[in-house]
Amino acid sequence: MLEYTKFRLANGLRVIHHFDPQTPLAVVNILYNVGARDEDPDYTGMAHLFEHLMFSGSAHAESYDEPLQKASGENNAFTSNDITNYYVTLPAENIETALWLESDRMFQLNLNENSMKVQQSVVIEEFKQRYLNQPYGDLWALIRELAYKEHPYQWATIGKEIGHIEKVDLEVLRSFYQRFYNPSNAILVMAGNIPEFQCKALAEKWFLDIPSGEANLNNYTVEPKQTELRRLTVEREVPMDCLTLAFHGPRRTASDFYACDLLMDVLGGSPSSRLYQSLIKELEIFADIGAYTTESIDEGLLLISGRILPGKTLEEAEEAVMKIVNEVLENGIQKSEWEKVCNKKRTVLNYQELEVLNKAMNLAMFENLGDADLVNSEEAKFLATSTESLHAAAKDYLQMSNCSILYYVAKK
Amino acid sequence: MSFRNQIPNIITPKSLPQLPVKQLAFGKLSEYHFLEKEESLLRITLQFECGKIHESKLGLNEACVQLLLSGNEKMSAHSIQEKLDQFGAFIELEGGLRSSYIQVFCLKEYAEKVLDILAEVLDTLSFVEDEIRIYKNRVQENLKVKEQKTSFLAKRAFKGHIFGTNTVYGSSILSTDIESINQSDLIEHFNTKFKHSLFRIFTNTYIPEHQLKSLEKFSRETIATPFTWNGIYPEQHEIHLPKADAVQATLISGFISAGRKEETYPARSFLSTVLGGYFGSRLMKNIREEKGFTYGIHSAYTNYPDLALFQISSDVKNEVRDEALAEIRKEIKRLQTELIDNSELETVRNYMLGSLQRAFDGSLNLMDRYKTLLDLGLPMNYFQEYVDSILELNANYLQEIASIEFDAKRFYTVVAGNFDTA
Repeated sequence: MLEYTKFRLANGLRVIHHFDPQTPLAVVNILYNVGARDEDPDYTGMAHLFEHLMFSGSAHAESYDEPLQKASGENNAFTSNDITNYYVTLPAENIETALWLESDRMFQLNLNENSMKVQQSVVIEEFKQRYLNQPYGDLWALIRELAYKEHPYQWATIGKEIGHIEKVDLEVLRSFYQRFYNPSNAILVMAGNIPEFQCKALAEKWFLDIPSGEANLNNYTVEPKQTELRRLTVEREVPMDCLTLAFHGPRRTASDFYACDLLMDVLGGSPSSRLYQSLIKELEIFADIGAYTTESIDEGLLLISGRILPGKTLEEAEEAVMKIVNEVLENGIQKSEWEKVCNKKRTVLNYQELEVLNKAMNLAMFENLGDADLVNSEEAKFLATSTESLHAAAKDYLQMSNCSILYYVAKK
Repeated sequence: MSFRNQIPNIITPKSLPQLPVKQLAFGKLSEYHFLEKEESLLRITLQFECGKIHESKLGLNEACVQLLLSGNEKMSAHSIQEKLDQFGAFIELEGGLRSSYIQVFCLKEYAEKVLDILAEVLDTLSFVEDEIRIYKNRVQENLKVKEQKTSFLAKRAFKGHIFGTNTVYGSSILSTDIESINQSDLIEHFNTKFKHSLFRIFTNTYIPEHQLKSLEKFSRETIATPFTWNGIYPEQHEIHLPKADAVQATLISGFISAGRKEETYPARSFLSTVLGGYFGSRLMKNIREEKGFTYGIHSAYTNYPDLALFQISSDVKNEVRDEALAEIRKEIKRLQTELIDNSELETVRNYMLGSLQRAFDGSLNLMDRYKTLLDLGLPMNYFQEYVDSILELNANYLQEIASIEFDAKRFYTVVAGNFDTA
């Protein structure tokens, strides 16, 4: 049970406090309700580029990093298709430094030509390092494009192409900042060795004077229901063929998300899972294979992906995967399989409570999903599923008409 | 004037928490170390005194470790995974230079059951041919994927060049090595070297000794002799690895140095942090933030009991690789010719002390720090003494150490990239 308190400042900023006296540290986590799904289709990669620009300094702090390092702090950030999250850990006595820097960059960020140029260049190198200079680096981008035709999940957080990052100008950045970086659109978590009264006083001191702004309403074009199987074949300089199947799945807050998540674990979540056992060990078709959910806020994907051993074809690999999927569709799953994935989930959930940073991030994530309290009902929701509900989830989602298949062919 | 102009006061974290670890004897010559902390999630680490230095063939220990859960004719790898999964256990297997590890994560309530399964599996392991073949196949295929990456190629070449590819520190497992491993090698390695080499058990929370009983038969029977590297330094200082289709070039530059026990280590690690050890480092500022050549550049010491390896590494735009190397040399020269100013000294000092405090937070981190002390043969008060030394460092002394440590003649450099472009 993760205990916390929650309040809202007059300008709309939501604040969550979690007290942990066992650590000498404090965590300041700020989640902004903006991600790649909020981007203009002609300026994809903006949310992520903007995350980089948030480290350019602000009106009263010329540099973000240096004062924080002086205060013995460490920080980082990440951007997903749904959100942008910034976090700091530092000695609890120094928490004000983090609040000063975070509030100042929420209030008055330095956006200038020079920092923009440098960060464009850094992000372009990141694009190359992680997506171009990397075998299979563009695989997930291809899958998104194939599975989503209307919803902005059709592009990856890094963006569709380098050109989109290159053409960004200060005007575009300023309007993005104004629209999304404000108290109404953010969640602040203070966790660690900070008493509640101090958290309240500090939140007011540092954040109350920031103009409220408007919350992101998160209205997106709904992805129309897929009605027939989609296929794409690409050829790349890689050593092995790779097969990926993507089925449309539920949103993170849907009641059947839990059954879907466990279903994917039964299929490909561990070495004893069905796909692993049959296709790596028995039939020796794949070198590796896994099954996952994207866990996205809007309707996400249920993914099965694996690399194929030489001598085997993509067609026979697909047939073998479908055979296993069909077995689940026809006969459901065993009680022992359900128990197994539930126990593994319990281990994972307990693991996430070992460190104060994880706890702080989870509180922010669940608050953004609707209510921080959801963090405390996760285990119960997974355990409330059943072999029947997993079978039902399979029938609802693992249908060929709901599937996109990517053949990623190794150039000979 | 806004209250925002008033920079908040800060403290420097000068003391580290104690490591509340208790040690008990285990078997004849082994030890059980546990953290005195209540946790519902258990991490148990089994350290076997058997590693790469003990193998008769390259890749043999790694293969042996990765096949520890592969079962026998009667108990398949699948049924083993089933049993372990039934209790929600996650198992990580790691073959190292001197030791190898089995690490288990599970709920504390299942500890005894999971360990009993593990003990039975180790006791009846027979290295089934099919499992060996599947393992070899998979590793060889994965190696092909890694060999597409300039970063992998550069790392492998750097290690091989500086230590010598025929030494334990410098050798890398190639596809042909994996091919040559067979069942009798594995059985021999496991039975004669691995099976009775369990010498330390670490847990992040106490579990009663009787729950570990089933592991006693694996406890070590002899104590291994220490191993040290006695290599010869190569003559050639820069090597190029061409990779035609690379969009970026990987640069690695560094040298072999003294380990953590040596008295200048606090100064050396401080200098490495100034240079490339944190986000605000000189190399990050210069090469990433000012020039935009790269997404990241880092420097660090990797410590072994008998030595340390210092490395600067980065993936940069292909066409600027020489310019980036020149900037790296320039930044090293600056450490030797200019005094670090007070503001930077304070930033790096406080940043390092903050990192240490974070590295002592939580039961898993505490146990990892404790294990580092044992692995490197350092005294229990080492980390606090390290903090005290960091607090005493001054600019003159650092410059003096930089001149000796970062002597240009010591550096070796590997560049992997596309040399067809200008």
